[in-house]
Amino acid sequence: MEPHVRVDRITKRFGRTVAVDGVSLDVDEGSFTTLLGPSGCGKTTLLRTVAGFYRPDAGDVFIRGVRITDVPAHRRNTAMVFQEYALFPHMTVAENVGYGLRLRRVPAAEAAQRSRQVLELVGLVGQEQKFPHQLSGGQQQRVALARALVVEPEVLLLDEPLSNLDAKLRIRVRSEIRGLQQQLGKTTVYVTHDQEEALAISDRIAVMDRGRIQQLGTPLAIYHHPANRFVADFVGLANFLEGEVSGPGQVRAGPVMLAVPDGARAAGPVTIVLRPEAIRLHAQAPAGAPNVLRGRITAMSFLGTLARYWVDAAGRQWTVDVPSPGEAVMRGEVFLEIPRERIHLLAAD
Amino acid sequence: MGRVLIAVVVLALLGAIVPGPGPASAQQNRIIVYSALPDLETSLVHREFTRRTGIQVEALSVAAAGTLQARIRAEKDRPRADIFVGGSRDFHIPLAREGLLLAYRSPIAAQAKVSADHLDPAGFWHGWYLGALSIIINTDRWDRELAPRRVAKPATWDDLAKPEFKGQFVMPSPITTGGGYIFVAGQVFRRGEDRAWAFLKALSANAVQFTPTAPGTITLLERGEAIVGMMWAHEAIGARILRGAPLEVIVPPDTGFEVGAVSIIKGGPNPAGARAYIDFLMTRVPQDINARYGFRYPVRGDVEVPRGATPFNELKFVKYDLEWAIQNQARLRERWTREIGR
Amino acid sequence: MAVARWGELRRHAADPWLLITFAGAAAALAIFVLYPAFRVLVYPAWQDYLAIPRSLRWLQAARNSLVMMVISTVTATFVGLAFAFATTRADMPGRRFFRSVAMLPLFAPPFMVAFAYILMFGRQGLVTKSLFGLSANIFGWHGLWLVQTIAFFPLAMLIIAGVLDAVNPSLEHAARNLGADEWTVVRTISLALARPGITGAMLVVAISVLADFGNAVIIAGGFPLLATEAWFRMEGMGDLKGAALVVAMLLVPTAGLFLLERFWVSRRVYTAVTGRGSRIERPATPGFLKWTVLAVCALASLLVFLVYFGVIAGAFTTVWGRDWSLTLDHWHLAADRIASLWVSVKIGALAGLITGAVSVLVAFLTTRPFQLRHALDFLAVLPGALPGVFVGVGYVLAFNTTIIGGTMWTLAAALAFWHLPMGYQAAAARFKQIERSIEEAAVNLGATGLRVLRDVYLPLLVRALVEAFAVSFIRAVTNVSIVIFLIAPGQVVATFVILNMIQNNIWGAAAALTTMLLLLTFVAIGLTWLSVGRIVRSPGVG
Repeated sequence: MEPHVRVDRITKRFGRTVAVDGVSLDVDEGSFTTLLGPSGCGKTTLLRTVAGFYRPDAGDVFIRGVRITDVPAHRRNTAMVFQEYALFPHMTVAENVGYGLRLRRVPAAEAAQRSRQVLELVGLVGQEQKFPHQLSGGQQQRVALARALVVEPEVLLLDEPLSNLDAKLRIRVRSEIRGLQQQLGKTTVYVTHDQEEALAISDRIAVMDRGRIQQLGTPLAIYHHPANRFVADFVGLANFLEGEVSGPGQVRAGPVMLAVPDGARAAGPVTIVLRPEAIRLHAQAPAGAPNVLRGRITAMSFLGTLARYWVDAAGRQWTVDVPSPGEAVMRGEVFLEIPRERIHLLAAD
Repeated sequence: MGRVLIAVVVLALLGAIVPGPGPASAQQNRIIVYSALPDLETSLVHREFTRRTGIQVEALSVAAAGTLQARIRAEKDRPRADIFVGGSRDFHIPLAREGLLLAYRSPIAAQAKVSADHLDPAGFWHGWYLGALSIIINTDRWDRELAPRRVAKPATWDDLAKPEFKGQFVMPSPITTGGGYIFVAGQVFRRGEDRAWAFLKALSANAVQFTPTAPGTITLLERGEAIVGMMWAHEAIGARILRGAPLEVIVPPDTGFEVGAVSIIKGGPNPAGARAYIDFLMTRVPQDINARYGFRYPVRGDVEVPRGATPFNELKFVKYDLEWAIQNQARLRERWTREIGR
Repeated sequence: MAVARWGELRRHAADPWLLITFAGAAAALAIFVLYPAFRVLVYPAWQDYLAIPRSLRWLQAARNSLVMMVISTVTATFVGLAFAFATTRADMPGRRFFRSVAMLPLFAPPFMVAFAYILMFGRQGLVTKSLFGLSANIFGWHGLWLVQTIAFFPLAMLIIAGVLDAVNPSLEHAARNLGADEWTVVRTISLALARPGITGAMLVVAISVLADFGNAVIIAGGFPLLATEAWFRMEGMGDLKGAALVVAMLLVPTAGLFLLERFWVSRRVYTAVTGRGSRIERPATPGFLKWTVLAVCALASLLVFLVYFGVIAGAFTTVWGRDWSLTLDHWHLAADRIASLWVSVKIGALAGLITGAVSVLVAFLTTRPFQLRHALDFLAVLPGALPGVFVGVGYVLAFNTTIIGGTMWTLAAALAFWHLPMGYQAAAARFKQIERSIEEAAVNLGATGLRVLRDVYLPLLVRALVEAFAVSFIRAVTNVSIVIFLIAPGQVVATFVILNMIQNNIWGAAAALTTMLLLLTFVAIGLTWLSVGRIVRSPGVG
């Protein structure tokens, strides 16, 4: 099947800095794809290039196989929701939402009908005559979404749409966005620097750094099988060990010898990636388990749904998360159990 | 850097200001003069006055007697100047009637046998120069634009109302200037009131502008913004001789004249100095300076007539009823506003 | 209410110096702002006011003033809008250049544009006579129209550019994204958002046009206008009552426009920034608009250059229009009157110091919890509504017979308090920037009342002080509209001498003295820039 949106070897420079460096990306129809990365990684530049705000220095953008690189922004039908919403302050909610329809010369009756539908969708019926400054941040966000959706765009582009909301609201609105996207089946490209948000909302994530896509994959793949140390480090927390394959299913990392999954890398130096919640913590040495280390707890932090321990073992510090800790608190000497199947190996950098 | 600079500037400014304030009226050997004559003549006359009497002069020259008249009125409770010099006696007489001037009869005037016509019998003002109204022509534009069309140069006031001067005539406004008013009153004396207004209306149809100040008229003529004008002859002669302005002066019969006056302001800081000033103006030297640089006629018979000017007694003046002119001033100005409206 | 008053009094009793300072500042504003205005309004009897409609000349002057206000405001705002556009969009060529050009008329003495205009386009004009051999009458409304457009478009530009610049580029991108072409973006977003700014600019320009004395007195000639009529009343007729009546007539529209601007338009300026905006480049400017704007700006810039060129060239030309050989003679004559420049500096410095001190003090006091602080604020901005000629006549009526009458203090006070709004608003803006917590920290450490001002605010406000000083100084040394009424022996300032020279056709020396005055203002601007690192702006009414 042909991808809905195809980004083909796009390069964009600003002066001497290369913001996007030969990036290619295919986005399937109806999918939710997130560009994730730290600030300055090129994700917003890539999104704006798709929207047509920037002309790439090299490469092309296609929608349904049609090259749109030279199509000006206002004829692309790639509606965008801006980080700061960019609501027109001199227009009411109704006028903001109706703006795109007016430009498309949609007949008034139909425009009113469509505006109402989309405002219903985002739960803003009754606010039509208000001005943006009379709305809360969450409501403004919804107006921005409604304004983008009402023109029935080919692709919906969202540029960090939640970053101006407080933490609780952010979580609620993101699930609303995802719900809406699935309900409408709208092809969506979403930009964020918040890895948790990306994991929660996306079908696929493209992790970007220094103008390139470091890894493209499902949230599960990105989290559990990061392609490199940058991805592993940027998405979630991890313990990193430098080691060397010492035999089949065996890795040596300093004094520690670890049994690793069968079929893992056959030889050479490796980086071992261990998520904190993958490690189990025991008061007594567990019987018959491989990969057990003896250690001592140096600090603990209670986070409600989990308890995070810092443990000294085998000459280094380990971060270990204990899910659903209840009121139990561990102290002093402990044993770390590292399940073999939860170990992820990367070729050493 | 910034702070040092600020400090330096502030100190310099304070240094500049501090010795300044406080009216220096404590100085007794000084008089303050309001002069309606141009800077040049004023400063030359004053330099000579200081040299001869040792009295310093602080002058404010505003080439518009009306402004100074207003000032003297406004300051009547605390007069600040000693002398009002220049401007036609028309500006001094109302002040005298309002009791704002100090009477003085200069012995020098009597010695010099200055005509009684030029002196106030009550001594409130002394005439010290004379001027005559005239027709003035910008010869540059005349030669280029009117001469080829064989237009005759105007020789009488009535000629100015001819249609060939449409949009080319300029004179000072009778509402705001003395010269303009003396001209209008002169027309009434010349033609009788109703016929005077008919003439003035025809004239105003030709006017490019009635300048709000007297020097404004000469300026427009000199720049060629108008081709013919009505103005004091001496102003045009001065512009021609001093600046090479392309101006020709024709004094028509039945012209009007001014008696340029000087008076002492009642209650001024230095009345003795003021009297010395009047005495000085009645002498030869200042009248000579005024004739030489201001091209105004002296009132003394022993001073040479200014260059380029017809002797005063050869001019033909309209019979000017000063008392009537002053009495009817407000009414004629009002009628001008109503009927000419500019 | 009474209880609250009592409580307030008790609170202030703990800090009597603050209360005394407040009373002192309020008294100063009442004496130097309110009282002269009051004197003007009550000087004519009520019958005199009733007689206004019967005076043809005054009705003409009023009508002419209003017509000039409308046409000059429209064109000045239009050119200002073009400049604002050219200087706020990254893809406009030469935007730095245009910004600098637009600053030039702001620092010129208010009669300079008209003077240069005569030199360039009069019967002896370089362009009209010598280049094209034309002979056209330039006096009257059409000349004044062009001159006021050039003189006042920078005011409009400053205001509109501020508003256009505040339009978040994302809004323009959003509109593009929703399907608007470049021109539609400009029309429905950029210009629509700038509309309150444009309206505000029009009001400010309108006040300036109405109050414009310097240009009108030189170029309007026989075309009666309210601003010049007041002076002619005194000049030719010695009619103080008439002068007071005319400036009172002038006050009606200027005060109305001022109140409209302050209480209506400025409240409607959209706070266009929602959330934290990323400073990204704006979308491209439509080509048609780009070239139109460039053409307008280029033409206006050319005229601005002609103004400066004309005056400077005039200072070195033997007889303008007749003998183009170079000469230094005019400089000898100008040097003869250099004392007047020194008087200008003295009075300007005095005015600047007063404006600076009062601005900072009043700005500080209006941040204190006094019930009357809004009244104080209003008094401090009120002079912005008063035309210069009104202030001039007001000070004549109010102070001529007092102890300061006829001294440099009257003139300095008139100039200082007339320019107070500019200094005060700048200082008040600085106070707003200062974190309240800094003061609370000082109070917490034991400082009280005035001590807070001295220890906390003053060091932070030196810049505001310097700026207020500079603006007031520059405008004071270039002023004519007030000076013309308050001039007295011993205080003959440069602008007065220049004006007389222009009117008496002594162009060369007038041009030379104007050039010296320009040098003086640019030195002042340079020094201010060196000390506070910012170019002072001096918008305001003529």
